[in-house]
Amino acid sequence: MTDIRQLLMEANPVPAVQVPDALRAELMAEVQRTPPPVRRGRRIQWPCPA
Amino acid sequence: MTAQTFEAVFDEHGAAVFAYLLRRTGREDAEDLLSETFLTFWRKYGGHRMPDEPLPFLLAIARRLLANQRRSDARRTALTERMAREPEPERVDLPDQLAGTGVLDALAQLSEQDREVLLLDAWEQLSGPEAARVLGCREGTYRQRLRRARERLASILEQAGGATPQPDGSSTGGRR
Repeated sequence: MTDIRQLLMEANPVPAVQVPDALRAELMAEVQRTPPPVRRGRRIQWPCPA
Repeated sequence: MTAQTFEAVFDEHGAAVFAYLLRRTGREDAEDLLSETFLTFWRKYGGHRMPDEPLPFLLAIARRLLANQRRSDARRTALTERMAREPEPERVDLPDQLAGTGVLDALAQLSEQDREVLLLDAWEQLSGPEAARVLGCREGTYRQRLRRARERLASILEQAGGATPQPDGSSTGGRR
């Protein structure tokens, strides 16, 4: 008898990956450009674009 | 969540979310969806208390974005086909990632829902509560779906003449 979970784990086409450095850098730059919204009670106030 | 916290969350979970996406779509789309997933997370939790365990929330966002993209692709394909006046395909195209070995071929014959519960367990290595959070259901419901999906996969594999699999004799989650 073969374990279904084990079969699937062995068939995993992408066991482990690394995020490309360029993608990480782009994302962090985007986050720096997008300040978090200010929450006041139930209202969300988005900061004015610079 | 500050930008520094966000960076730490990305460094801890970025690869797991990227792997989740790469297992379900091509590399270019996976990269786009990875950025979109984390930006959505930032918009939702930036300047606000984020979840104690963010991975299930990130995977839930990634899953929703992937589904939106597939719906959009399907609409575009359908439109192209209608314009070309070609007959409707008899079966839905399955992700390329699921072609190849016997197990993956069997997996491709399951419904999207069955596949997802099996893969959250075996490939994403999520615990029951984590997987249930990704799917937006109760843990009991997830476990029931997982058991049934295993039974269906075992049945397909048995019919295909492969190994006789054991659907229920295994553990049901890796990260517990």
